Amino acid sequence: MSVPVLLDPHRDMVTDLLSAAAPLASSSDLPATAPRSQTRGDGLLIMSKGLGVRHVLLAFLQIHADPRNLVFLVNTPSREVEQLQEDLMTVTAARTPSEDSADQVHPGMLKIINNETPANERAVLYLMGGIIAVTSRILVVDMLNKVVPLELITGIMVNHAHRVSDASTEAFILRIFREKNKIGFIKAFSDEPESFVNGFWKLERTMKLLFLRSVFLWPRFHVKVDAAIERSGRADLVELRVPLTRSMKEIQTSLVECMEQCLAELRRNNPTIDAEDFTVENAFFKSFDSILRQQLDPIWHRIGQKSKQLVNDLKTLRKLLSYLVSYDCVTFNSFLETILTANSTDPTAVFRSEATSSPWLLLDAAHTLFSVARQRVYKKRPGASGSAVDGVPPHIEPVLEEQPKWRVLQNVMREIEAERKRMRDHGEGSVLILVDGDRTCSQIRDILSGLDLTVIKAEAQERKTSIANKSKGVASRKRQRDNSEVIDVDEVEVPEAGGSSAAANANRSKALMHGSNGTGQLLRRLLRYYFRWKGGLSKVTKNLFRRKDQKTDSISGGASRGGASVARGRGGGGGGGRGNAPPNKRRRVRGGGNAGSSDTGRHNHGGGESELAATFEEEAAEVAAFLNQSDQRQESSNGTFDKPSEDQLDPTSYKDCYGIMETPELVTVRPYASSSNSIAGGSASNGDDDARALEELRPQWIVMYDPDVGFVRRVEIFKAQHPEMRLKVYFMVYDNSVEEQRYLSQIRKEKGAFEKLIREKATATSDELQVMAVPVDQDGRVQEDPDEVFWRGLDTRLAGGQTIPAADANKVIVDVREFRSSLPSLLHARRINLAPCTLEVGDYVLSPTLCVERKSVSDLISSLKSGRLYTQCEAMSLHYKTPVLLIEFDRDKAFSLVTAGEVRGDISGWDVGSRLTLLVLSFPKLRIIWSSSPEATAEIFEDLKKNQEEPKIEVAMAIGVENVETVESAYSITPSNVLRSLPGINSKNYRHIMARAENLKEVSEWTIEQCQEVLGQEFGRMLYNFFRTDPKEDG
Amino acid sequence: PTLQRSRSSNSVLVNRCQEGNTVLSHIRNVPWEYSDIIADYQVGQTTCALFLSLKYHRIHPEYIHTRIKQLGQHYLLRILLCLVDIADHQQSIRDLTRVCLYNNITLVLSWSPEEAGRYLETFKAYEHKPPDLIKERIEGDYLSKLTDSLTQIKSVNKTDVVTLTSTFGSLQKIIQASPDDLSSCPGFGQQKVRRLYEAFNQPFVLNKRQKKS
Repeated sequence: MSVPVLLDPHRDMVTDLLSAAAPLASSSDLPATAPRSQTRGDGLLIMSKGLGVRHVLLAFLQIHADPRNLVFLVNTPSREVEQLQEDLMTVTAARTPSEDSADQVHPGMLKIINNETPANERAVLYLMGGIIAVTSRILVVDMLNKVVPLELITGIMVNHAHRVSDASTEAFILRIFREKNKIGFIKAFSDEPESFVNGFWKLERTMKLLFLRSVFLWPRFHVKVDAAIERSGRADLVELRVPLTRSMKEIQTSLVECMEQCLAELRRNNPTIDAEDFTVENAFFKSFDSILRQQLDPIWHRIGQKSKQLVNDLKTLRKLLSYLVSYDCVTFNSFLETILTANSTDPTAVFRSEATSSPWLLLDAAHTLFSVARQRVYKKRPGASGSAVDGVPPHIEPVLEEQPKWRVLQNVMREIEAERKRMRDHGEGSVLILVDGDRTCSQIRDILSGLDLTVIKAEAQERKTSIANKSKGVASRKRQRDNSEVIDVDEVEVPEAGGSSAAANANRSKALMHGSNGTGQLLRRLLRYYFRWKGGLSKVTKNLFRRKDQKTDSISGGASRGGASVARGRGGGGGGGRGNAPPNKRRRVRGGGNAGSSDTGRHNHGGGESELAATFEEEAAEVAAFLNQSDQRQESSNGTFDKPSEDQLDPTSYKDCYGIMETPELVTVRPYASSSNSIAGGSASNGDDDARALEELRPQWIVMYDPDVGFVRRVEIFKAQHPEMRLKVYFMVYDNSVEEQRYLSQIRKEKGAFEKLIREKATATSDELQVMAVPVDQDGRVQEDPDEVFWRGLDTRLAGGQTIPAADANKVIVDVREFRSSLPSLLHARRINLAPCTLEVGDYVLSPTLCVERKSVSDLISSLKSGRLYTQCEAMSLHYKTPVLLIEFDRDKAFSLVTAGEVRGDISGWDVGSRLTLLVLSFPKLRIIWSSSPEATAEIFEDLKKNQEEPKIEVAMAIGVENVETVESAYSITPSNVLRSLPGINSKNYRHIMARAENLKEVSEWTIEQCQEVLGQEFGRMLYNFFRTDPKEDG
Repeated sequence: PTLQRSRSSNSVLVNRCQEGNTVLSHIRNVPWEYSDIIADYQVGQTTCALFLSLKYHRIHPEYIHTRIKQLGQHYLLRILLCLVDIADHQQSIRDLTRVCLYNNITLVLSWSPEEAGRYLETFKAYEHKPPDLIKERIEGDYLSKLTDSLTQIKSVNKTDVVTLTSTFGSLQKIIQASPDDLSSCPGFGQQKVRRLYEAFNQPFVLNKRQKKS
């Protein structure tokens, strides 16, 4: 593997941050009184996305990899750490090529401490020194427990600095560090300049939290960066602007219209908010959510349920906009149908709010959206009968519109192939295709594999197409081929009106067969899944959403689920084909839009009007009925994703196509690291994985199937590092699409952000104009005033001001799980001594008699619902004289439990208030603290600590512990929460399960005997049955 | 503590001093009557409530102390029903929290007279109600139980639950699904898939591995 080359700008970045007086090996030797003017290696480095934070981080890791140092790397996801570790080994090995250097290049150069490292091992690791990448929550607990030698720390490196907020653990760590250690360095890194300009003086505030006084900005337009990239000559760039199909445009327009309506409605409902930013254009971006929340959070309690729903709807609509270009037509349509189904659910949710349906579903534009989306997939033929063709019911005529980029990609591949032939002498360069997300990635692999000859062979006789070349064996190698047989999209789109049954049948089988290439095959397979899924959906709706008094076995008509939704919205939609359907919201959507918009989508379907009005679930029921009779013999145990045999993919060639990363093939399809599951640690990754892929594959052609700003930079850097390489880049973007708009404004926003940051920095550092004044002591290196220290140590409550041992005074015992919230940090800031440990009962122990269970509002609601809070209060009441429930609100959110105007006529057991009342009645000893924010909680805690005896950690830890062993182990939060929410499981028996089974999967596979052995007869059966209840099966 | 017996157990007893309080007009679901009691409201045989508007408290901070002193050790469950009708409430609530804790009073906040009235009538109506509603294992239908379980996983919503169950069927099959299967479901981005997969496959006990070895 190659060692990443440091470009000139990277070297400059390192020297910026390193600074002359930076302590290298033994920092503790430096006098504490060294002149403050020097930065001493402190600083925040902000660079453009894609310029390579990794290179700089790696350089610093090399500098500090010495057991005489103790450097912490925090806020770095484990996957990134592992890669840095790997890179560090490679780099060090390359630098010292001698034989015996193997001992020096030990994996311990960058050590990793996470929640799987036992406490005693951690203590040893800290003392051994070197660089330690550590989970923040663990580091803070160890710092408070004085396991970490604070005075000996050489420095702390904070990655992803833009994520540090005043509530984050990293800020807490740095405060503890600076309190005790005035010498060590703090370096922070970020490649997201945009996040520093969101909000009010975000940069200034972040720097304060990081105890930093200097910031270094490295935008892409920095002269040195530009020069370094220009020097090596740019790569060839081919920009391909792909037009959307007519129906895609129609869908996009409808979605935008729905968004407009939602926004207008939102403005109408909340006249007080500043609507300037509430534009559709802004709504295309994820950042719109935060704009919205910023505006609405302070009045969140005053805005109605409707507005909240609108906020959610906007999110859904934005998702749909991006799915339109990234999903295939079948998946897109089934997602739409799922939204419809989920929106018609009975109020199963505890709080009514969750059951409100989305108003945009009632718009005409939504009707167009649904019908056009369906027409991209299939049309219905009235009165057709017969047997299934290829798993598709008889009355369905597949349309299966391709994504336009697919065709373009195929052409690009042919072009590359031709080019490769022309320049044989250059050797065979490889092709790298970058796409957004795993789903697209596997789609593209499918499509490209379809270009291969081995797959097409079986169909050859049926097709007039001449297949020129014979198979070369390597499945993924692309060869040119005349593909003219593929039915044109437009041709399929315009069907003959009311054509004869025979012609329609012919057309239908043609459509089914269309495209012997990968796209056709892919779509046909998806369509089969789709119908099978739809059959399942019908049973699910029948089984789950039905009203108890309704007949359940009706196949035709929405009767099976109709009653689920309350009659509301538009007036009755009489257009339904089946008369027996009861009032039903879905029907109304379709029926209501029927008269008005029949000309929009379905004008070519003469006799199909009544069919058009049919609800999705009617169809689904039909499909289900059909599948039941015809599918039984070949149905495998589950109808989900088993590959049908008709695909003509023999296992060997299949493996060849899909084993993309396994063999050194010429074409690699890869999702952007930030968008993938398999490659990097998901969204936490900063995309440096993509840069590694470039270095590993050294491609000659790069196809950017989806636009990505960061990757463009990575290619530039890669090219600059390897000026000798030939490189051609294809850049694909849908013309006039939201995708394009998003890409362009991403660039614009980053540039704008840097310009703003540069201005802010200029004002901060010039001495005359101190607009953003950075206090001299912001770096926290100033020695504390000894007087203040003295007075703080005195306790005026004690006669004569006698001092008590500082460590025991003002102590609060905190459960370690609480370190995910910001309260411990705030308590510490109030000079309360925290004693972290694992508590079985309560979250905070303030005195031997006072124990607090903290609940955020959402926790309160869910734990009242699940009964967990009752159990917790029961345990607290048993062990403490004063059990306290702390209800903590968000600082930025409304301080109120019930939305104004939400108090209804009757007392309902579903209301939070009613349940809270019941809790108070059940536990008369229980006290409640209402806190409007974590800050307020800290103040209240400080109050309550006064005149109280100090709690004892050993006592608090022992309370409620039945089994000593459990204290030692940490439970993973989500799996145990899911487990505890299952039927048959309660707070008393869930531990037994966790002790017996490795994970949820194992529990789900337990036999009934196993379940009953652990849980007893009744609960065991409940759990066993719950896992196996299949709503897709009749019952 | 001495308990004050209620004569008519069906209605909320109201102290005359509450006459004119808008909260009274929001006690609709249970009857109420004036009575000679120490507290402001008696909402159960052993339960009483004092009412305090923060606006009033700010002007007369001593008032509530007098009332609490009068209350002495009467009643088993003593509630201070506080109406938050000022914007700058933090200091007042902080003080009241401390007072309540030292005097064995449970503080309940409400933000509107409707809500305050609702609390009073609910305390009365639920006087003899067993706490089953807030205990574990509330029976619900299959879908709500399934939704409840799966939405424990971050970023999973009710649409996703429908997608999962209609694609895979039983919970067992959902758990057995591979990440690839999951990510082919519409609406399932990489993050959601990862969270689901981890929830099902991550060990319950984190450092079990080391313990065993």
